[in-house]
Amino acid sequence: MKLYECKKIENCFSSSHMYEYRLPLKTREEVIEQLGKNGQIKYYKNFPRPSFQIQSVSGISIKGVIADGVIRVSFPEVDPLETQKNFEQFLTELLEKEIGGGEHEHSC
Amino acid sequence: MKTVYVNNAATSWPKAPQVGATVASCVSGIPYHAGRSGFTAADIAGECRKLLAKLLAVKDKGRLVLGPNATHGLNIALHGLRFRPGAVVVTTAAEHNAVLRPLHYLAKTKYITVHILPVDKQGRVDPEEWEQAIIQHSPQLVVFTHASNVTGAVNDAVLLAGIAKKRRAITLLDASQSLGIIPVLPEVWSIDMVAFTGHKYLLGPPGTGGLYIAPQIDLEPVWVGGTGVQSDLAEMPQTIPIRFEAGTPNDPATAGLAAALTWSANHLLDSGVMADKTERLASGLAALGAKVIEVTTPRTPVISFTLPSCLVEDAGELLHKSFGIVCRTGLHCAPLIHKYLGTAPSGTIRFSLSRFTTDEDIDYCLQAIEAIIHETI
Repeated sequence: MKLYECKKIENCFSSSHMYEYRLPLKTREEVIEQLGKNGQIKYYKNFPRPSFQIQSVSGISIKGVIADGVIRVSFPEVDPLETQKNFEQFLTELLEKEIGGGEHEHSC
Repeated sequence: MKTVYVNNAATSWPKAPQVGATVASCVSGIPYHAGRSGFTAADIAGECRKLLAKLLAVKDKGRLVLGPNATHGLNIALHGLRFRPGAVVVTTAAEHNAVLRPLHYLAKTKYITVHILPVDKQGRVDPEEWEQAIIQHSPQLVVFTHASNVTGAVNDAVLLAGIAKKRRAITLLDASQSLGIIPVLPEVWSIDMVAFTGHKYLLGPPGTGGLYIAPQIDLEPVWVGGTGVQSDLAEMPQTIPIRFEAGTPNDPATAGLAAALTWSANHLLDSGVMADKTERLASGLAALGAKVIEVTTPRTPVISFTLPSCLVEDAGELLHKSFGIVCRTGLHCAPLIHKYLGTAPSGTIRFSLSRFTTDEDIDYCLQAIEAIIHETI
């Protein structure tokens, strides 16, 4: 079973390392707090679709709409692959905790 | 949540009425080759060319080569020219990568020299600098955008082309951002080649565009292959436009563009209303504290700006995901202009309107920007 889906997102910059992750759950505030436990979380609750933004100490930026199932993650230019690998490990553990244990795969 | 589309400089939406139905009808109908079928088949390309020729005030519609986009037209022009050894091309920093990348490629492979002129803070090339560069470098070719896709600033195409023609340079105008909004008249203005797209301000479907080639310009075909006619020749036919139209044409899209052109000819754009809407949005953004690239007339309905408290990309994300506003952020495929606008390296947030943008849409964009500034400051 795939725990999340992952898709590369392009922008104007060849050095960009941005991905969208489709999660098997909604990003309610408890999940957002977990995602941002090593960083700064900003909420934009007054917008028509409330959203959030997390800036982690490791240089990862996570953005998404509250109670949506998709997050957009930007990895820093320095060592992005290692940072992404660590993030995905963290995300897998978080999701396992949220939706229950078991053997999971992920695709990216 | 409502959706507001202000990304018309990328591609227009909505399209002109009947475009979708015309494309669908053409896809569903039996395809005939116009050149072989006599009166059995509708001459889709011929009809589209006729409408384009009227719009561009071109005498011979056969000088209009159809293709999938302006990039295709620009490549036909740039790769098709026979450059002299040591040839120079003069262009501007406001150009889209559709111009810059082919020129970069030609500089690498054909050893031409490309001189890229700076632009002012609005994105226009200074005619005096243009003239000096042309006198200094005696270019074989000049290429310039009619209107910046980043700021909307319109260059004086008549003046710039006239300066270049005086020094016997071949002139190539990129009208991707102007045709459908402001007049583009290659033969009246004595411009040798004009590349255009059908899916922006002409309100046609994606996959349409082309190149006007003046009779005195001799190009080699870039793409060669089947034409459906004169198949016994080993080389591409000499006849224009098929000399430059190898391969199966995209008749459904061409029919859609013809439908858009017909509609637009019967529903003329009110440029005063368009200008008022652009000005209202630009001044409204500035009043909210956005740093708007100020552009004097003539201009297209394109507004670029940054926000004091929010990164360009973050703003685009919030506008899209939280407000349903579809716009474009970043470099807009014109990477060199930002140095002159003061918006390097991240670029700008760009709102680009169309004749279908409503006052309510503009109000909503302003409300969204106000909310983002308020929440991020």
